[in-house]
Amino acid sequence: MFDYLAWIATLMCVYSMIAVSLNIQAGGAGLINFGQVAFAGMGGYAVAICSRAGLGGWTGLVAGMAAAAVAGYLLGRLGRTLGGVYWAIATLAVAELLRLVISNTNAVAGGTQGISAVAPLWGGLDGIAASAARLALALAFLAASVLVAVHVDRSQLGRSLRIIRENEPLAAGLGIDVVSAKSKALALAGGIAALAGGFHASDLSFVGPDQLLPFETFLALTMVVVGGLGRISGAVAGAVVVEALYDGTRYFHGFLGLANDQIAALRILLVGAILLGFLLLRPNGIIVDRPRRVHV
Amino acid sequence: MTAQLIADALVRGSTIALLAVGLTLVYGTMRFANVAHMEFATLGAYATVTMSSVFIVPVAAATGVLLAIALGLASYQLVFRRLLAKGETSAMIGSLAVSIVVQAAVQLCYGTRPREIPRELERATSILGAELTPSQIRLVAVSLAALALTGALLRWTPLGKKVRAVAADPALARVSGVAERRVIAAVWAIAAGLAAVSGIELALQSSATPALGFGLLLPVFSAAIVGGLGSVAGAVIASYGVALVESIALAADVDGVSVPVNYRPAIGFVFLILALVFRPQGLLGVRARHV
Repeated sequence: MFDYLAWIATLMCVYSMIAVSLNIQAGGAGLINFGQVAFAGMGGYAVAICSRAGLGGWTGLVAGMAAAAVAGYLLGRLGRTLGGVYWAIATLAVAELLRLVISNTNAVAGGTQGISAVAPLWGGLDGIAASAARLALALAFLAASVLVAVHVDRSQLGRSLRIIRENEPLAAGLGIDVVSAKSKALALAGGIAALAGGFHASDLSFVGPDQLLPFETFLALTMVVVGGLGRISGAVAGAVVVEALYDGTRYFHGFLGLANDQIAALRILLVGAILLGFLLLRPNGIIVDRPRRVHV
Repeated sequence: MTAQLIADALVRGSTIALLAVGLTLVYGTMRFANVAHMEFATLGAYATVTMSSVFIVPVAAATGVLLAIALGLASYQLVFRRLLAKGETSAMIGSLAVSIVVQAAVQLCYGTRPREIPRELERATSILGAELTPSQIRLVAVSLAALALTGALLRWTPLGKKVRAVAADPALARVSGVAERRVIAAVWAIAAGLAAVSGIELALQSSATPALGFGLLLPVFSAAIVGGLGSVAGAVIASYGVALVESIALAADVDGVSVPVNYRPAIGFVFLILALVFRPQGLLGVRARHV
């Protein structure tokens, strides 16, 4: 039972980080990233590839975060010319491209089989000690991500981003470098998501292309919308609530007497219904983003 | 070789074009890029699978199209109209949610295994040096007929004139006495119907899976965006263009280096990203517009 609860809590931390990262983009910069899962995937694959190559998981984690930050920066530059719809579709295309390349490069990325036996980041502990160490590490990573996000939110960059989100021409008129602000936000968000993805890979000790399906992005979007777009505490709250509902119902098939793929479909339906319900009935989420006074 | 390339592009392009035209029509009249549009293809295909156990295939296909139209109208009234009232971000995320919900619902009802519409074994025939099966020829013919019908409807009927008026300037159309709600309903019906035709024809080629429509999302979006969102003619040209680029890229063999067939979807993505970077206003568009 402790193992199960620790497992759920660890997953909540991972998804909280991914939601915090998405919130920097969607809530902060007003960019809807349909390819969020690519950032997490880059972190995960970097850890797996480096750990298999004998370079160690931590090296991989840093490399993955750097790669995702660069990718985020470039995607931000792409936002120079693209409006919301076009940008969202472009990010989905980039994420699907990554999934396709990974599925088809057997030598480096393990192809459709993925890479298993990824070394844990917390060393050679086992039993309850391992569960506790992994949960502690997850909480530490989450705390670091939240601290960075809060810091950015309060910084000059965070204020610029909120003005961009509310009124982009006004922001440009005020002399804010819109492209640069978006690129920085994306780079940061990429790094945080890669940290989550890298940790998750070593937690599962496996990475595979199925972890890069668009559904993962959709799950993270649901968390951000349920929590309330724009608030960091909202992103974490949304992640905890949605994750509890999604992975808490994983073992319900015993009660309902349904086949495995039917239960999987029901759980996805549940998440979709929650997202639609919130969008239609409570679009500001659990924790509403208030207007804030800006000191200039 | 060349003939086969063109034939393949015709078949693939016809599937994409039916979806891209609906997507671009909805975008043109509502400024809404509906990610869930592809699901009408899936729904039409599965409805046909179910109906074909009762009726002969053409009747089943017709009921499938009608059902998709009904679902298109219902989804607009119940979900998309309200989402659009909340703003572009909500509509965009909401349409992704609808797409995922539909796929999950289909998986719940039919399972993940592919389902087939009953059909006879076919033998490919040779036309001008290209090998095509009768069902592929039918797909191209049906698609071209549906596209021509849609084009004629938009160009020569009073309804088409109203659709174009709403697309050009919704406010001006409204004060000129165009019933905007009715026009939008008609656009949704056309879009869902065309998508269902595409899905059914595709399922007749192989089989229906829950991801039948979603798998086409990126090629369809690349066609609609490259064609210039809102432009019907652009979408049709770009659909066949995307399909032709796919065929050529897969057939190209430069000094023994070629693109593996697994990368077929990637060609559409790369095409889309390049198009977005270099020509975001689309093929037939004249100016860049921010959305």
